Amino acid sequence: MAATPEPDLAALLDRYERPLVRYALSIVGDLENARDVVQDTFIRLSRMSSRVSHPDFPGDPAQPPPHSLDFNNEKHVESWLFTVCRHRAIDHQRKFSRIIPMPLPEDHRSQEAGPAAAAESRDTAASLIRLLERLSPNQREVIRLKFQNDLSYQEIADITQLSVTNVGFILHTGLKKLREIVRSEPDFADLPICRSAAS
Amino acid sequence: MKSDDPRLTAYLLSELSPEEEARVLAEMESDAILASEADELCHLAEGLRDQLQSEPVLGLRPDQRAAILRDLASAEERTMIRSRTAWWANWSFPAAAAAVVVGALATTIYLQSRYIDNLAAHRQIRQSATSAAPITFPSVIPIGAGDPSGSAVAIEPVPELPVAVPHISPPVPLWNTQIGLAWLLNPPPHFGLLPNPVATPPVDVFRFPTSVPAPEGQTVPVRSQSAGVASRSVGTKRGGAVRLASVDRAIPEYEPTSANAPTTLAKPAPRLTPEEKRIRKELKGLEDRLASLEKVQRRNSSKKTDDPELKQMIDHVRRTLDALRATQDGADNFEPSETTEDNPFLAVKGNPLSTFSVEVDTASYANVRRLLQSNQRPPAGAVRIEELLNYFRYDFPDPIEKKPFSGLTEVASCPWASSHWLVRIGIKGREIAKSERPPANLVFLVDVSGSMKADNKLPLIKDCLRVLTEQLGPQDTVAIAVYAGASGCVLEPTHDMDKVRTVLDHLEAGGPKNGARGVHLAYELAQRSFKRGASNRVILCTDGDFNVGAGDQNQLLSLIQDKAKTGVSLSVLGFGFGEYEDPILRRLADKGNGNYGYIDSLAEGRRLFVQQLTGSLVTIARDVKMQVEFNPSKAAAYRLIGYENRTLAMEDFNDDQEDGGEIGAGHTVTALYEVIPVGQENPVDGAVDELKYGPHRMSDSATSAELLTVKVRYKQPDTTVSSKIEFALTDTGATWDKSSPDFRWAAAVAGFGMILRDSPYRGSLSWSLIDELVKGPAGRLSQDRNEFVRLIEKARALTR
Repeated sequence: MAATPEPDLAALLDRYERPLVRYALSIVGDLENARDVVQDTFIRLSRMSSRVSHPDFPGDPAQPPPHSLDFNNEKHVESWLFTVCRHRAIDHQRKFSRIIPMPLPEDHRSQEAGPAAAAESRDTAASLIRLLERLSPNQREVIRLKFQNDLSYQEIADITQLSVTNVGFILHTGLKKLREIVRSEPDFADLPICRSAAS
Repeated sequence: MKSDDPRLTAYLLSELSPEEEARVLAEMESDAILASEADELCHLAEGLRDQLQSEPVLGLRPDQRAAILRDLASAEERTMIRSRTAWWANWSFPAAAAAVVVGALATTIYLQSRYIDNLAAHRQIRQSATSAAPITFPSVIPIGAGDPSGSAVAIEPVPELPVAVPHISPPVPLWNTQIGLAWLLNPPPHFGLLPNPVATPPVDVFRFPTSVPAPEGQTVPVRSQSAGVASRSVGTKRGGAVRLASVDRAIPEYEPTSANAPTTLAKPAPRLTPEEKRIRKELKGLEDRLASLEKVQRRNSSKKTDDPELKQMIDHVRRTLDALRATQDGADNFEPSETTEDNPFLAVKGNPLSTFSVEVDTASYANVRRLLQSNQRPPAGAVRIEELLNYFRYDFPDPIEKKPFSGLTEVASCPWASSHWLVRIGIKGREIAKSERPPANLVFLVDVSGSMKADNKLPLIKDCLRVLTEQLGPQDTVAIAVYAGASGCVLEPTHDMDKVRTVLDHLEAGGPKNGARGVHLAYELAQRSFKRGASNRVILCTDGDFNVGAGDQNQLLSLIQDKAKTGVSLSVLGFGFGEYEDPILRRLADKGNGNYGYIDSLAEGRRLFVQQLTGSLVTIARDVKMQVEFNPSKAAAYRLIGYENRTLAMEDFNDDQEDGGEIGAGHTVTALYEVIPVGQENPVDGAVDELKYGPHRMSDSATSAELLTVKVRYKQPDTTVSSKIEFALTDTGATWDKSSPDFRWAAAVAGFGMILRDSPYRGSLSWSLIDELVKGPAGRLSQDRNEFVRLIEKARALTR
């Protein structure tokens, strides 16, 4: 094969399909729409790759140079995927709703059969995920990017177009607010977190 | 430091520099409240991480995966064919074996934490210090940070596949690990005795995304590779099947080749949006920082004093830089790149000529209307004043015989800047009665992908096209093509409108999008029933998301341009998109010598296909460009209101190769100029020194009373050589309250747009001024104008 290795896009699909659907779902609030958004994101990735992977294909001079997306650097690709996914999701969501219904995890749980779903439905009352709904959308989003996808502040800043300082601030205030909510929640009453607050 | 300092969280997540981290640690040491605050945040963060990462999630539907893989396959196929490699040889072999496991693998859930921060270390140390019991949240799925197998059992139906290790190993953020380790080795005294550092797993083997290949015999990292190959081969098979079955087999495969890469499209250097400027600036800053760090590193290494922290910092900056570049390139693909900045005032001395391509589209008005009616303020970029102006009908004199259009000019004082003039220039395409309309050869190209299901999309498209067919007769032909993942012809060209309506009724939405293929097919059909002298036109109906990559986009645009030269034009109708329409649709229509409309209701569909049927179908003049020459003895500066994306260089006016706008029968074009008379204070005065040798001696005409001359260049629909008409305007000294109702109406519409765009040139514009402008003399307003009056109320409420 040529000197440039073919980016393994199918592997990227396997790797990021679910994190992206989960992320898109947290923005658009509907599984089918989230899936559409993610499909679109990958189609775009595929278009990028057909342009990028062949340096002998000059493409159009008005377009950014082909080095634009380094498929050998997964961080690039990851950032790119989340950024595009976010943009598509927000776009999509603007198209369809004025009021943002936040996704209840229960909404799609019912579709997931198996032991996980069963375990979920047994005890959702105390789930922190459920409490996240009471945070502001940007607090929720930053918390998800941080703890669900383990992205760094810088990566989150890149994806959300916020400054790094801003990301740190939103994350911190979000956590603090969540802690207040946890304290006020009877299901969490006997947690050490509340004890230590009392002491 | 207070507990609400974001550095506390940043410390826990290892986002601080080593110095800052040391400072936070020192403060925690002396401040027990702060330390317990950190504990709580740490618990919460760990709980969140556990729960969020074990949140059940579904992936794409199998058909969506298949569509993506098919797209990958065809993209690779294209590039492979170009590089003349036997690409299938690499694929065919593992397919059978891998296909067996693909079903099971697809359910693998992404839950591995790859990021190592201070959370675990903090917990361990504090636990030993306070000897508190381990804390867990009542998480639905018990998943410990160091317990990947347990979590795999809970969610993963195939527990023998232990971990999903990324196929492409990312650069490891060693930095964080080392800070964690530094922590363990040099604990602050406050934290007392450490647990055995070897036994504590802040660095979990499974969580560590090592760039070192796994030892032989270890099965861990094979998953993504084999799954990748497997699903890809499945995709290829399916893709092949679809291609064979679908109609577009007959259509030459759309092959972007460098040979026909358009050179004309690349001409104007794109103006940067503020966002792009910001990113570029940030990029520059990072590049500089990286360079200076590397310089220090080189100096160090010559002294043989390697600084690992410096190396980490360099890595970090490099990653940031890479990520930024990636987002920027990503952004180029989806951000509307058109400028939204208002045209500035230009000095007549330096710029006596104002040149632009005419515009008869009205999509922006329909979109603004829809947004306002749903109580959303339209973003500035969505408000294109020229499209608002052209939405309305104005009174025009009849065209001079044989000329395709008539023109008019009017000047009065500017309502929002009393010392300025407002100049209105209008042209109107000759009306053609429906009975005199030439036959039409139409291809409806309908997007039937999954996103079109909404009521304001495919169902509305069907209604609108049905309305159109009711206006057509046996002399016309209609064909219908659809596209989703593949494209297909659902109706061969026919004269039978009943049949057309029956087929329309049966269209249903579903599947992914591949717009480019649909366009090819539609042109093929239009060509098949091409008729000279008829309106040969493809009508593309979509929701604005055309879903083609940037490279393909340019290929597509050049194809459309070529087809337009052969006499098949492309009109684009947008349905149901948000305030951010995809700018490609308008460009497609521009290149395709067609109109671009946005249809938000059946009423708008009727407007286009019934009231303005001939305008929508019959082009009476092509490549229409306007050039206005100002008389420097009268005008000091001018500003073209709207047309931000339509301005041309002055040389383009006489260049017949340069694309202009198309005017349909009965279409009107209105342009407004705000003019600063000579002798009035103006913002561009003194911007350029007086020329020592010129400008050229003023001609005799300069002493005339004329304020300006309008020149319009156009081509008859079937010619390639342009003609020109000219008319001049003389200032009458009228104030705007004495101007014609149409003048005031146009001023009101422009003012409405300027307020919504928050234009820096809005002067004394206010909603009450706009009320005054639209109120006008007694007389009933048309339906369109009444609706606009209601929109003003909406906009007034939203901009308060």
